[in-house]
Amino acid sequence: MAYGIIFETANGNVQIDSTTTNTGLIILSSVASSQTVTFDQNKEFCFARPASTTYTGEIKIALRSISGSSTGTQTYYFEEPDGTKINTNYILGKWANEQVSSSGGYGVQIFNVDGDLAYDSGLYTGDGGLGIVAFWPAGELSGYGSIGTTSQMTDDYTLFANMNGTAGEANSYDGSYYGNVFKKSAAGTPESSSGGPGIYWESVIRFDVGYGLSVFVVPNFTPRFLAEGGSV
Amino acid sequence: MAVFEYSVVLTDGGGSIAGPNVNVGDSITLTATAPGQSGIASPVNPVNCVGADVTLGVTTPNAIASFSGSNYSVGYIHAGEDGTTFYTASIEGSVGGGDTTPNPFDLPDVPNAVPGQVTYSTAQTITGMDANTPCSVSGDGAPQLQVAGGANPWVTSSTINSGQLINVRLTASPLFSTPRQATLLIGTGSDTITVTTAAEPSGGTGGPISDGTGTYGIQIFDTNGTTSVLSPSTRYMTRLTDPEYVSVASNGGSVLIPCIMTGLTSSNSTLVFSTPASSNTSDTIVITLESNGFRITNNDTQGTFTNIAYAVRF
Repeated sequence: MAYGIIFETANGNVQIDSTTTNTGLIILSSVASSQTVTFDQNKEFCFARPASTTYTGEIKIALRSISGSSTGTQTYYFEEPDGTKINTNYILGKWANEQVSSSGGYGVQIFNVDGDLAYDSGLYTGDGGLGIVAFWPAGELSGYGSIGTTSQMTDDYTLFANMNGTAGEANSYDGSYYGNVFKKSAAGTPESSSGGPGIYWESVIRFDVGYGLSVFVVPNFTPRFLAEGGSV
Repeated sequence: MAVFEYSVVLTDGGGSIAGPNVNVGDSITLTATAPGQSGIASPVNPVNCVGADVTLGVTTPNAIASFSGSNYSVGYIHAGEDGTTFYTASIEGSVGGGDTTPNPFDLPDVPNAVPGQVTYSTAQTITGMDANTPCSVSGDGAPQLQVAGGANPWVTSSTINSGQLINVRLTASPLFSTPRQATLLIGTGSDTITVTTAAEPSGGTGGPISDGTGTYGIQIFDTNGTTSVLSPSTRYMTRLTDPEYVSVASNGGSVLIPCIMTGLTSSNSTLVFSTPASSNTSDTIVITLESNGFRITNNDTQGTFTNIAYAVRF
């Protein structure tokens, strides 16, 4: 490295490297309780968890678009498959090069090899940080949700799950559903193979074949991330 | 409920012909003619039919509403112009004595059902009966049947006529590799449908990622001066490439998303698609990390894969 700056974690993972085209995820907002979120999946990353800490059983959450451009900013409900709206505690981050650099007189700004903003501490406005704590590549989660353990991402149901790439329909019990399942306890859940508390991935495709529905479970098509928020 | 169409010819002295065997709720449309005569004929045997006067030669339905016996007789009588000659005819048959034995039928069993999901068999056409035939379903998983498809209701019992479709659905077991059975009864015939849930798949790779802790390095605080937004223990996420619209041909077509490579591995970087696929799956759309970027390969045979993709590191 002949120039620039690299941040690394204590075990050597790169956080920011000004010699590449990377651009960091800057936290825009942290919302305690909301049934909707507005963002652009190309420019932002959303992580969410149930706002309730007293629920029993499990809560499923997927985004369902209710307005906006399919290739730009959209407003989404956080929804269960049956259309029930879920209050979530969510964190929204936006890539630094999609933002205007801060103009404060302090902090650190880093530009990448393209001259784009790679990091700008001045863009944080009191919503805390975000650290990735678990990663599942595409195709590695079975899609069965909390049935069994082959879609379990963690046993810590208090983490934030990535909402990008989730999708529900107006009534997903008759359609497809790609979403996260937060399972706090076995109480209140239907009988199932196993699957204890934690966060799971569920991806079910249904389509009408004329005399009923065909139902398929498919592995996660998009990579899945879990994160922690606040002070990281 | 069946509708039967018959016609009779009224004659001096009358006569009777064999009619259909019926069940309660069926109806018969009976047409009457009388050669050389005109006018109105009146129904006969109103006990067994809800009849109406019929203009000779014009179709008029006689709805059979209820029966007290095991046979019926329905006909017409017409008084000739001389006032003394009566022209009559009727049809006769049995009540509730129709053939309700369908030809052998077999609704397919369903393997690899999704646990806990409402699962449907494949509708079959039932034939061989000549009367409206009761049908019912019972068993595990709250089974229901539907006659004639479409928007007709899902119920536990109904009636079916020859030539109509029937299907059965039930909720699959919530356990993997577990069968549930339901028995469909149609008249005197029956079939047992078995819905067996899929075997539990094997788990994949992925999971927690390490961050490490350290008392050195760089730490950045939020505006309150105490909340850390970046520290040596933060697995920070960065985007390596701008979102790019990709169109990947089927049958092995591929597209490379080039990256400036500095220590990327499949456990610290990946390609992200902006929208979940609706018709493609991770089995057919394969992402591989190569020496100069991420390659998307479309092994689907059905069509071009399109999406918006970008690479991230964490």
